[in-house]
Amino acid sequence: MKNAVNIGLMGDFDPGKPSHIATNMALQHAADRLSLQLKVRWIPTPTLLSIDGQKTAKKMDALWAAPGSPYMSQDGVHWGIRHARENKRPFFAT
Amino acid sequence: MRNVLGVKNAQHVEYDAYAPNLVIVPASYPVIVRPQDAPRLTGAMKIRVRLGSLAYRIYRAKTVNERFHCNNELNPDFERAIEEKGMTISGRGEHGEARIIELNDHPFFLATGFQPQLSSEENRPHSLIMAFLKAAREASV
Repeated sequence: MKNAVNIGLMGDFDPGKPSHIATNMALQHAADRLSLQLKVRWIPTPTLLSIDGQKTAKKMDALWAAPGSPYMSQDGVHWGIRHARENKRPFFAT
Repeated sequence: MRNVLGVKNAQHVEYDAYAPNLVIVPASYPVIVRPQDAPRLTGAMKIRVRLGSLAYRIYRAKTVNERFHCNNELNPDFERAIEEKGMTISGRGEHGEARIIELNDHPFFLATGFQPQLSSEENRPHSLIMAFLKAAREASV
């Protein structure tokens, strides 16, 4: 089993949003406890409607729908949720 | 909702408050005493965790306290429909509101109305987030 995980955060990252900063930190807390090398990639929600954005999301081990709705693209996030559901990818939404 | 249940125009109140099928609606029991700009659900609240659920296997507790910072919740009119299609409401608030929802027959597919990341600490990572990362590791491509 690998010791590195790639997490895709579906959301429009805003450093002014405490919940976004908290998400990054909380993932690191958990990764450190589990001795996992963590790679987090925020995926802007409009890009999830493009081939490149979907290609990025498909490379992730798991997807998290970030807090802070409304998203710039609700349809983009819906694509990600459906991808995770149909392909048995771990999915989290908080 | 749109794909599995076939609910056309299933919508979230923040995107279109006048949509005919609002699946996500404003919280029914907002916190009465809260700061002026705070959302309807603010601060720590108790959640009852359903025995046998993934959430229960992670928490190993029948009740937990979680931190909220949001305005909305699942419309209770849709609870039965989503449960019939393979979801479980695995956490409920004081008045029975859906607070944790998970998809059955999936390695990890879980949504919460609260924000576990708000209560995570370096010395005390949140159990749901750890479970999510463990699932990611097992699914690693």
